[in-house]
Formats: sequence, structure tokens, C-alpha cells
Amino acid sequence: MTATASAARRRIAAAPAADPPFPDEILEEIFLRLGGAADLARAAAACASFRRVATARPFLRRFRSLHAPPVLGFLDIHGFHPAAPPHSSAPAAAALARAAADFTFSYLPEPSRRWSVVDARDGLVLLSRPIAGAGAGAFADLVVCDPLYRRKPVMLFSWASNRSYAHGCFYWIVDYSTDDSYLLVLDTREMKLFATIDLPLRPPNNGVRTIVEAGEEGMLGLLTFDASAIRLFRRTWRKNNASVDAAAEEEEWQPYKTAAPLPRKLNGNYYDWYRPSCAAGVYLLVLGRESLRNSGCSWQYYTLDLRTLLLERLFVLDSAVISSSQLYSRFPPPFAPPGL
Amino acid sequence: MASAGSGDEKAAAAAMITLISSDNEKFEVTEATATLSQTIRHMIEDGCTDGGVPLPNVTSKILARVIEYCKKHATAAAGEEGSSSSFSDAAFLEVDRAFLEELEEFDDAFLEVDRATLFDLILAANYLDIKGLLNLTCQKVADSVKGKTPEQIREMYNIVNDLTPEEEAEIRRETQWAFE
Repeated sequence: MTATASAARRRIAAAPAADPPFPDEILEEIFLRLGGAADLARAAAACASFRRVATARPFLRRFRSLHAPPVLGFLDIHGFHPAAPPHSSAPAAAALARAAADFTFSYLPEPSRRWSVVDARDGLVLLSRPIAGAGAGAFADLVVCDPLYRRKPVMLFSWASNRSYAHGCFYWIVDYSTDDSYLLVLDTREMKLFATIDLPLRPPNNGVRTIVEAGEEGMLGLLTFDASAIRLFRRTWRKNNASVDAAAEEEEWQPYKTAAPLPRKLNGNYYDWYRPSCAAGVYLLVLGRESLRNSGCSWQYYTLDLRTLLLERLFVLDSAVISSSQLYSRFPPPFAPPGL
Repeated sequence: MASAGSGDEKAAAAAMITLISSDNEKFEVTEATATLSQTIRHMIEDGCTDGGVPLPNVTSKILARVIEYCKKHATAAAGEEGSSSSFSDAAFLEVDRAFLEELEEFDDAFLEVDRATLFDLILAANYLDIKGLLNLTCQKVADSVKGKTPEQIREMYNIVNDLTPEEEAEIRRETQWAFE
């Protein structure tokens, strides 16, 4: 539906419908209260201003948050079974087939039969396969597929790949485009997938973002690094063990803390900073490559305290293993009880 | 139930506000009624309601209807507050249910208006930021197009189809499932 939205927008001052004389914001309020997607699609076909309002992305985001998507079918080991007539979703399910949705996941790396569906949510499907040679199924490759837009981003990762962890969930930041990104959340307690948390705009100049714990349980932090500052945003994640509730969904990321940016120059030497690799509670591991004046370099491991945004050098190495470092946090004896 | 409020609340409820319509008609309402409008609530908080609140976007005909709605719903809000303090009393819950049914009947009757009035009420509810009234009136319009074709929607609301034939064909193609 969005393909020609810009075309409609380009039409200069399309003759406004005389009746109803509503500004867009009121049309939105009315459209939000329609029965569902089919009503919205038909209203959008009435005139250009209806179409413009009904296909605008912020509006559609609101609409999706208020209306449950129709059930289009189900997945099992034999594949996808589309809703069949007389189910009210049958026409929409048939539209999936016309749109060349691929529920065979034929584009996954071989051997494809080893992939199994773990979860489906928000139109995405989570599949896993055991990693060959890994012990007793402790590790698995995970893939998130969008069966409808198979040419669009398909994210492949295994447990060791770049991700964040906080409050019992893994997080992957997914950038669809320069102005639209969201958070993919895997709840390890329930093995459920959410893809519903919108993110603020990407920081400029290749700034990076990462998800952290922001203080007490129930608060999720978003840390951004760019040339101008380190910023920590936070928002309510969930209360106790309940899944993301409607109230939390509506909350926005709130600016929480700000600190000076990671320095480009320190003690007369230049620094390149790498994407923060892992977080352990309130600490984040940040890796900086220091270019020494007499050519050569050293790798500086810093911790960033998320409570204070204080950067502290942890260790220096001649060479670094960028992706696999894990922080180890523990109280020193005698304050640390045995873990086993 | 009405007597359940504290002394302060009673004083606030008794405070009167003057609303002035676009055609210069004056309406005296209680603050409790007026503050169903967030717009007016903010004006009261900012202390700029002396000498009346001019509402240049709302005619007297529409303002009278809006006030009718607010009066009824302000009473309802006061009733809810009263009953929550005696939550354990089953009799109060019974009264509550009866009152909610009455309120629903009121809303249904309130919506028995011609289309032009309905649209004016939506514009007024939006301008005055009265959530309940905006919801009620927008839902009425939304319900009226439920299951209707684009042609029927245009006919009902005198909408000029200003889509090009190509655009219309494209919409139909993209959302064919909505037309089956």
C-alpha cells in the first residue's frame, strides 16, 4: 500500500474533499477505530487524502498497535498452512501466496531440513538448528525470517554473534532503513520472540547503539555513542515476569544520562573505538584501539559504568580478540558465595 | 455518592466558568464540567479564565451539545470516585452498573444527530480536547463505514474521488484481499 503513497503526496494540493472537512489528525482518529485492515484498505481507496492518511507510516504503526493482526494460517513441520475459506482471513491468506511468501525457507543455508521453527511473532519466524559439533545442543544457530519479504533483511546469527543481553532477554538492533529501526527481543525464559520495540533515530556519523540494563529490573536502557556524546536512554520494559504490556508499549525512550563522547585523542595518541561487545550488569566492555606515535598500536579495554557513564581503563593488550570478550563480574572473597 | 467528596472537592465543583461561543453566547458551567476539556483545564491551571473563556471555533448550537455531554459525564466521573471509596459495598456496585447503562443510553441518544452536527461535534471535541467525546463521535463515523465499499463510503460522505484511474487500480491490486 505504501508504494504510491509518495505519489499521492506529490500531487500538489489535491482538491480537498469538501465533506468531511477533517484535518488529517481527525481522519487518523476515525481510521484508528475502524474494524480492521480490510476496512482501512477500502477507506483508503475512497479518495487521495484518505489514502495519504491511511498509508502514512506513523499512522500504520499506531493502527497496528491497536489492532490484532489477522491469523493467516499456521506453521508446523510440514510447512505453512494458509487459512482456508470460510475463515474470514482466507482472502488475506491467499494474498500471501500471490505475494510469493516463502514459508519453505528455501533460502536458508544448507542443510535446510535441519532448521526448525521455534516461534512466530509479528509476522516473523524464528528458526533454529543445532550447531554441528557443538556439545549436546547447548548452542544453536538462530535465524529470523520474514516469509513475506524474503528479499528484505534476513538476520543470521548464532549465540556468539553480536547481541546484547539484559533482564533475561537477548536483543538485536535491526535497522530497516535510515529512519526506521526496531529492537528484536528474544526472551530466554519463555523462548519467545518480540519485534515490537521502536528505537529512536540512529545517532549520526555511524554512531552505535547497544541495549543495556538501566538500573532496576523493569527498566531497559539504550546506550548510544557518537562523536558528540554518550547518551543513555531508558524506558519501562516489563513488570515482574509479565510480557510486554500495552502500557509499556506506549512508552517512549526517555533521555536518562549524558556524558562526554569517547575521546578521539588521549594522552597525545589517537583512538578508534569499537562497538561495545558485552555487558555484565551495570558494566559495558568498550574496546579502543590506540595508535601510538611510533607507529604500532595497543588495544585498550575499558569499562563503562552505566550508572555514572564513567569510562575506566580495564586492561591493555598488544592484540585483541574483538568479538568474543566477556566481562566477568563478581564480588571478591569473602563476599562472593560459591556459584556451584 | 455525591457527598463523598472532601470539602476541597466540593469547593472546586461549585466554582463556575463562563464559556463564550463563536456567536457570543455565554454558558455558565461548573469547573467539574468544564475540565472534561483538557484545553479548558489548562486554561484554568494557567489562571486565564477570568472574564470567560472565548471559544471562537465552536458555535452556540454545538457548544450547548458539548456541555450537555460534559455535564452528564462529569456526574459519572464524580459517581465513580464516590463508589471507589465504598468498594466493598455491593449496593454501590449495583448502582454503578445501573449508572453505566444509563450513561451508555445517553451516549447512544446523544449520537442521534445529522451528519453535519456529528462532524461539528468531532471538530469541537478535537479542539477542546475532550477524549471521551472524540472517541464517541469518531467511533460513530468509523462504525458507519464498516464493511462498506469505497463507492459506498464516497456516497455516504459526499467524497469526491480524486484518485487517478491508475492509482485506484493500483490500490485495488495491492489490497485485493480487502475486496473479496
